[in-house]
Amino acid sequence: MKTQSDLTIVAKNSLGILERILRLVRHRRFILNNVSAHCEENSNAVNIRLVVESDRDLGNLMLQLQKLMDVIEVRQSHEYQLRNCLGYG
Amino acid sequence: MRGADFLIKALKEHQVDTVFGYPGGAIMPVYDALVDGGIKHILCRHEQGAVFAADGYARASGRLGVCIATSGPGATNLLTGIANAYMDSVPLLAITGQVNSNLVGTDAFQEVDIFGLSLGVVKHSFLITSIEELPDAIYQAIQIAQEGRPGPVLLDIAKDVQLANIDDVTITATNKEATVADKTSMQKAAKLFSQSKKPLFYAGGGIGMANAEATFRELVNTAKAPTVTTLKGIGALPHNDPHNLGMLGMHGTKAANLAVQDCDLLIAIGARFDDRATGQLNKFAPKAKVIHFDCDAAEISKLRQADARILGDLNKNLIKFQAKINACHNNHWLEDCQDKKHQHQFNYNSATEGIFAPALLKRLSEMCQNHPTIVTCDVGQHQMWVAQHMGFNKISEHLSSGGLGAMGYGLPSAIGAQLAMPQHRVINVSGDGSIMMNIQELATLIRYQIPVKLLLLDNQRLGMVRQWQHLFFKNRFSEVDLSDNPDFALVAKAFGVVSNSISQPSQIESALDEFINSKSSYLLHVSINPDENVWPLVPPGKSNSEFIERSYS
Ligand SMILES: Cc1ncc(C[n+]2csc(CCOP(=O)(O)OP(=O)(O)O)c2C)c(N)n1
Repeated sequence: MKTQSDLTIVAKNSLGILERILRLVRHRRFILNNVSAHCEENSNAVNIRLVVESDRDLGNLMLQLQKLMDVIEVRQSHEYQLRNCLGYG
Repeated sequence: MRGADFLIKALKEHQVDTVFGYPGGAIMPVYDALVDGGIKHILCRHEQGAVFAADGYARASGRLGVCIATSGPGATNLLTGIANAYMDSVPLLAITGQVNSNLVGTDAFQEVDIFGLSLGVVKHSFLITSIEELPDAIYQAIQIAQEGRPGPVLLDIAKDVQLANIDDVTITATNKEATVADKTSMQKAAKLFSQSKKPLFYAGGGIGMANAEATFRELVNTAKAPTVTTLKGIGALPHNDPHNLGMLGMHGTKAANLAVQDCDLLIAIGARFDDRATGQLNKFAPKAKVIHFDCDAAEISKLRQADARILGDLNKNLIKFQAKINACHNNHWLEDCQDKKHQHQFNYNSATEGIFAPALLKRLSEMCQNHPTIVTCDVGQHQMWVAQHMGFNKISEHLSSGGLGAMGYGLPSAIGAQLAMPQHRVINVSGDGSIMMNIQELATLIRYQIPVKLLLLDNQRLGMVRQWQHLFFKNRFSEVDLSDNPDFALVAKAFGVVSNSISQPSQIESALDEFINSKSSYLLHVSINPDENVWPLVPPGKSNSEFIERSYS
């Protein structure tokens, strides 16, 4: 069964970080329903929010994401709110 | 100093003594720095040869393998080798030149976005477009490639950065403190073991990568439980160890596959439940609880739910686990498994005339026991025959492209292995299809006087593909005939490599004797039956208990 999940990722804003994350999500067979990214001022961190959908295990996706060198934290936000997601930041 | 000099100096400071590569425009400053940089550079004859050689160097020695190529075609030629290192978790540093930073993104001559192209096959990557970034990127790259689960790291350096000035500073890569599993998981694992009547070790290549062979062996001796290995785990136990049931999976031994299907506890160590090992996943080890040891959190429970997850450094965790357990209380289990191993031994009598490759490889292996020997393989039937019929005593003695299954791996990886381990005898067992994929490296053997021995099993076919067409496509043979092969012995001679050709069983003994004792590189061409297949075989998608056996097409 396909389920939709809402992920928050904090990462170092290094070259290609968004590409790495999106590539991984696609390759692990998750559909991307929404994405937003936003850099904090005076910090080299980037906050990324993904809404993904798949019949694959979300826990494993999170571990794979966590493995990316520049990813600092991966969290699942339980309340899925598209509006928040779009207006994130 | 220039960025290029800094790079070479940093490599040297991290005990890199040999690099493999091929020059070109965008990497010229690095090649200039190599002239008097104090590192040995091996010129391979194709970048794929260079990256496979670096991989072989790393697998044989456990050290970092380094390869260098220019931008554009040089970089794309590395990709297969980078993917190979990624799939098999090999510590590899791939250094590529990139066009000047002001030209990046302009479709300049020999500009390829290798950073983007390689994203799916690297552990990490850097594109360096300013000199300030260079030192940190180098040290991080060296560290990341080797720490935790090893893997390839790409360092793509713009040409102007290679030429830019930089102060001579020394920073050293430090290894992070290895993590160990938490107490509760360890206790749970120990409890599962003590409750188990039929525990089975499932040993993977991670044991070699973690340098944990010795601790693993002690654990097995304490536990007195049978062991199956993956393709990459071959050598985790000595081949004649009484606990060793051999390789599991598609071309695994019957004893190994039967034990997996029967066990009530599967202890996976540095293994990743690959489909070639498990067959149909939901029928794999159907009665077993699972303990999974790995240093990569994303591998545990990826394909099979673990009942106890033991995350972290294998060495430390295996020692802890060993301290918590006693020998398996059911000694019938090991005996049963050993009986099955005895009952289902390989049959070395061929039904046809001519040289029977499994028998030849078995004999070669016996003759090699007098001296430490590394065998590298290409991909196909011969690769499986090596895994089945040659005996190995260490993981690093058997180099095979496991995850990627890349034809062309064998010869260059043998070159890397021989340079890393000059005292070893290094043999590449190849097929007539695979050898043609990197045959240019025969020139590298001669140029550097590398005494690699090449055993070419020539069935005039793309044998493994022919076998599948025979079994699963109703004998509709499609593009697998290589009967117009060149005269390989003559090809070798043209490069300056000593060669010999045999086709009769009576020639085997003296030919192998000359082959393994030759002081120089040597190619032994062996004509074998085109219709021979690899047995047993678990058809794709079937359970490991549903193996099929010998038939002829
Ligand atoms: C680069 C690459 N291309 C294609 C394949 C698919 N493939 C797997 S085995 C094989 C045949 C190999 O033939 P050969 O080297 O002669 O070995 P044999 O099976 O005959 O022992 C092929 C084409 C592959 N593994 N790697």
